[in-house]
Amino acid sequence: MSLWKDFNQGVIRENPVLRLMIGLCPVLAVSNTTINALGMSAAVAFVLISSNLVVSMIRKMTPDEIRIPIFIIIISTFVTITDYVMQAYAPVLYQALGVFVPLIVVNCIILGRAEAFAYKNPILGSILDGVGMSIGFTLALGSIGVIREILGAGAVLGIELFDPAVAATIMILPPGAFITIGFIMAFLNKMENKVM
Amino acid sequence: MIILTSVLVLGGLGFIFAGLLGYAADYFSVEEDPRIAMVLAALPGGNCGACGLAGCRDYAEKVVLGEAFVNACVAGGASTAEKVSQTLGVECQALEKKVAVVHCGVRDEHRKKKGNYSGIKTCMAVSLIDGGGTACAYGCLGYGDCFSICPFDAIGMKDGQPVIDAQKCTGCGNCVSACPRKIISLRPYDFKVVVACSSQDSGAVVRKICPVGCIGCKLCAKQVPEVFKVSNNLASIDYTMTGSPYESAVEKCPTKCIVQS
Amino acid sequence: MELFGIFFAAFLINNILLIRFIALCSFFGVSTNIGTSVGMSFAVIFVMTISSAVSWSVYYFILAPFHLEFLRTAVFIITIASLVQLEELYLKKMIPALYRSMGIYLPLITTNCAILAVAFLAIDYRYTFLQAMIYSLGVSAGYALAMILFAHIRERTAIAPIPKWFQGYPIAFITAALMSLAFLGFSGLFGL
Repeated sequence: MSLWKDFNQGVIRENPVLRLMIGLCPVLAVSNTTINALGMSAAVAFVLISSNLVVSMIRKMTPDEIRIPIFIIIISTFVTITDYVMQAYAPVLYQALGVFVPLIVVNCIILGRAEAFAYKNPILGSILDGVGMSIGFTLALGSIGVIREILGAGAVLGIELFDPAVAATIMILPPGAFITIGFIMAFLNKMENKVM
Repeated sequence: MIILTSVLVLGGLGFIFAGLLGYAADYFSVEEDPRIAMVLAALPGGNCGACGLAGCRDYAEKVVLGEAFVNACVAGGASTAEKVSQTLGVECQALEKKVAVVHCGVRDEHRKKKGNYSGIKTCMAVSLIDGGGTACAYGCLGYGDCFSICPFDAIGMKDGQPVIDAQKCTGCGNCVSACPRKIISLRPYDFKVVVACSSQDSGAVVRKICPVGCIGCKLCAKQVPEVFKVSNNLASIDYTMTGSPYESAVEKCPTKCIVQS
Repeated sequence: MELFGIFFAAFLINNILLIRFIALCSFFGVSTNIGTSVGMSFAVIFVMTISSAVSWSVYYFILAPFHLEFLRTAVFIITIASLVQLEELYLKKMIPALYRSMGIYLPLITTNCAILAVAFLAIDYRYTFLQAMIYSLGVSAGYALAMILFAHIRERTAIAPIPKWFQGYPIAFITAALMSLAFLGFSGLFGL
């Protein structure tokens, strides 16, 4: 049952964005439309799961003193792959995400999970942890994206719901991101009945 | 071909940086007196500033250089002074342990206020407005500045009254300076009694505004004159008279403002 | 004039923290205290200017001639990590006073998105060396400005009567939203 715990702790209880407060940079920047949010989540999921897998595979032979540079090199390899694949197959998404694709390499979630979990746990557990954290990240990023897109552009996934002229454009601008995540956190505080 | 170049370039860059770092680690290595680390380990680490220096690290460096006294760490007390003097191989003088006491016994239910306050909830902020807005101009304001500043977690707030844990208190004195009404002082650890009132108002006035205030009746001074002195309608304890029996004064006090802790 | 434009755009109009959302982890983590914010800001200015100079040079003198631009992610991060380590060693030995005030933030900066972002953006915008240096100065000055302002506000909200569920991070985010709104007002300034 420990494997199930590895998987689901990343989804709600230790949700990387909303509870652990790491990996915030892309969350606020790319959540202005749902499609961007889901695209970024997919990229992060790929990098997270792959790097967790590789780090866990080589954990027995990595010297302790230089483990961080080794993690970084592994992660940057996968990020470079993601970067070029996205450029080739999803150029519109790539344009929208901009500099945040290469910035996945310093995304605290990936380095943090490699250090805290994959380095010390077997392969299957690490993969499941990666999947769980990715789902948590997707949920957080996706919900922020949906809220911002509906309130700010009157649409979801590009499908118009109501006249964009009455929508609050501020929501798809930077302040809207901060406001949305602030309110979501306050709501979560109330749900969990404790203050972060 | 490009695979070969990239492996070579990346590997080459890695070697260059590794070499630079290795050389730099050697060339820029800083020699530090190992005794500093040993002294630092013996200190409580609260960075409270009671020694008069800028934190534990600063004290460790200065004491190794001989620029600070081995018993200057009030928070660490006698045990720290002993360890420090052992590390440095010098004689150690004993330091008397002191703990903080609050000279006010009022709780939220007794505290009479002159109006509603809805500003910044710190004692310092309240005290700037009309002296604090409490009916008693001398007593505790209850917003817990002492509680927030204690680096050793020795003060708790119960019903708006600070409760000091004498075991955790190290006598560093941060609460003494934090209190805007200056009603916290340090008493010797072994002398476990305090006059929990600072009011210089006459007895009639005190009776109206606070049930646990000192009314200046001098019953305590009559019981144990060496220890208790009354002036300006307020009793005080002479803490140099250790060993005198004070329990009878505690019993006789009509408002129970003399508290044993 | 153009250099002034680059600096000003990076400093205010496209403020890295409040408009571009880069380096947010450190923004919310370090800004609870004015002292640590100032220390962190100076460390960022110090590291960012040196790092962008070195990354720019490595890209144009080593990667580009061998057509290895695709290695830039890995190479930049290795460069920055090594540089930070070197800077820490140098400061500790040569300028101990400076090390004591901002040295503890240096390891934190290694994964700071802003340093890496500036390295990438200087290449993407095809800046010359001088332009890249001015750009990184502007970005780090903007970082310092936003960080220090935010720290001042946060110290006040810490003792203000905030509704229970909003205490801590939620009110910090809403504060950042208001600051971001204010900075949005700079767009179009000087025709930039």
